[in-house]
Order: sequence, then structure tokens, then C-alpha cells
Amino acid sequence: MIYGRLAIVFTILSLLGFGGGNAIIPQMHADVVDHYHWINSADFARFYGLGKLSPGATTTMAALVGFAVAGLVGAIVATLAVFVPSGLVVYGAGHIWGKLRGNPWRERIARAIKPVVLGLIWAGVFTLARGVVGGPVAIGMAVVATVLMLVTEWNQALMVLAAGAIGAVVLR
Amino acid sequence: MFGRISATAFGGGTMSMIRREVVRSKKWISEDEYLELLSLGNLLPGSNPINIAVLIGSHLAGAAGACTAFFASVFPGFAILMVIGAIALDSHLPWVQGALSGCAAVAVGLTLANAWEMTVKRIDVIEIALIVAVAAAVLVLHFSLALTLAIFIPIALVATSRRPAKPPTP
Repeated sequence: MIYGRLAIVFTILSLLGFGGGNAIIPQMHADVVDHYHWINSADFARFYGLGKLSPGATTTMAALVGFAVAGLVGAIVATLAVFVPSGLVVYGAGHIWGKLRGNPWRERIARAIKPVVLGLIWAGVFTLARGVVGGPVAIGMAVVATVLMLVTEWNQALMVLAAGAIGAVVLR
Repeated sequence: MFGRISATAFGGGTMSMIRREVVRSKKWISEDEYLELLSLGNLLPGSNPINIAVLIGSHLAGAAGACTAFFASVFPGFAILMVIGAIALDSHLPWVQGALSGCAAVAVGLTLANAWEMTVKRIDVIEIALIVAVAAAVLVLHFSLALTLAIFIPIALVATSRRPAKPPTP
């Protein structure tokens, strides 16, 4: 059943999503594009763009995947599956974390996870880039966004919104 | 409160807004407690803004607080995305497709910039080597997320443990 599959895919992503939402991008792409063929690479990158545009966690893009596959119910299933399991883990861990204060393992694990997560985020950047359509114009927009992001403090959502307006004119 | 933040925090400013509200305006928790919850929320699986909301909610009002904070931070983003999605995905008008492609291109650029900024802060050769190895394993060898974590977290634990913690960058 499609709802069951959606729930399983996003629950696993939820539980393995150490270090925040961007680290699960390569696996989410492998699942929803390469394995189940629910959406294509271009839609994946577009959903990610919309996830950045809308308020809250970018991971909410799971709702769009669910919506594309199985309508509103699919969107609800995917959203709950991607947020509830990790939410429960966090809730449980909140109670024992305080007791580990001063435990050297806490710091060691935190430091070990960071480079692994960063490697996953880089992999996610290249995974997403494969889905960017629009040729040299789109690549140019991505490069300009990268530079603006590095040298200004502009709001990310406004940049994505502006890109939507430019895209509506030049990428049609 | 989290509902309002979630509904208005366009573009990833969520974390700083939470801090300003919870610590500075409402004084629900102290700065130290906030940093403590933040480091836990970053470490555990799940989206950071939602994790921190659950932790603060639970800290203030137990399970009910965690539940409230959770739904308040997930729902507005979900609702807005559904409205945009329902309009944008149903449409095959060329300008709508162009707009979506523009959003996608720039979102990738923003993420690239984020990754770059986080990477150049880590001047440690071992950490850079780990970052490259993980990215290559995923992109070239198609390692699954589970396999990547199972292999590289133990390696990273060994590789990073012998060095003293770097002083926090000012």
C-alpha cells in the first residue's frame, strides 16, 4: 500500500537524520527518485526549493513528495512520518541528556558527527544540482545565489522568491 | 508562540528567532539552558528547529508542552507548502515551471554556500578528509545513509578523539 511505503521511507529518514534535515537529502533522493520513481530529479530539486521558500524546516518538502504520490493524505502521512519518530527520540533523549553533563563521550560524539554530516550535506548539494534544469541561466543563478549568500546577510527565502520571479520570466 | 515563529520564520531564520523569544523576551529558559538544548537538538536525528521546539516545550510543560511545540512548529510550514504545492504542481504553465526551476537553482546555491561556510571553518586536515570521504562514498559508491553512518561515525570517533578540542572561533 502506498501510504505504508511512504510512512516507512520517511520514518527511516527521520530516525537516521542525524545533524538536521540537509544530511538526509542524498538518501531521500535515492528512495523517492531512484528506487520508487515517485518523482523525478527535477521535481526533487523544485520541492527542495519550495521547502526553502516556505517557513519552518526545509524537511517539510516531504509533504510535497507525499502530495505528488498520494494527494493530501499522502502529504500528511509523509510529514508525520518524517517528523514524529525523530521528535519522540528527541523527547526521550531530553530526559537523559542532562544526566550526561560532563561525560567526555558527549563531546566526542558531537565532534565525530559534525564532519560526517558535512560530508552528507556536500553529497546533497551535488545530488540536488543534478536536478536543476534550465541550462546555463539556471547555473548562473545558482552561482550568483552562492556568492550573495557568502557576502551578504540577505534573507534566504527572499532570495528564493526573487529567483522564482526571475525564473518565471527567463526560464519559461 | 512556536506557531507564530514557524509561520513567520521564512528562510531559515528560525533558530535565532526562537532564541530571541524564549530566552530574551519571555525568559522561559536561561541562555545556558538554551545552549544545552541546542547542542542536543543538533546532535539527535531530526530537523533542528523542530527538535529544539520539542525540547523547550518538554522542558517547560512536559509531554503536553512538547506536543504543542511540535505541532505548532510543523503545521504552519506544512499548510503553506500545501497551498503553494497544490497551485504550483498542478500547473503546467511554462512560467510556473520556470519559477519553480529558478527557486530550485537558487536553493541549491544557498545550500552550497552554507556547506562551504561550514567547511572552511574546519581547518583540520583530518576533518576535511572525512568530509571528502563521506561525500565520495555517497556520490560515487552510492552508500546508503545507514551504511554511511555505520562506517564513518566510528572512523570519525577514532580520528577526532586524539586531538584536543579546538577553541571556539570568535
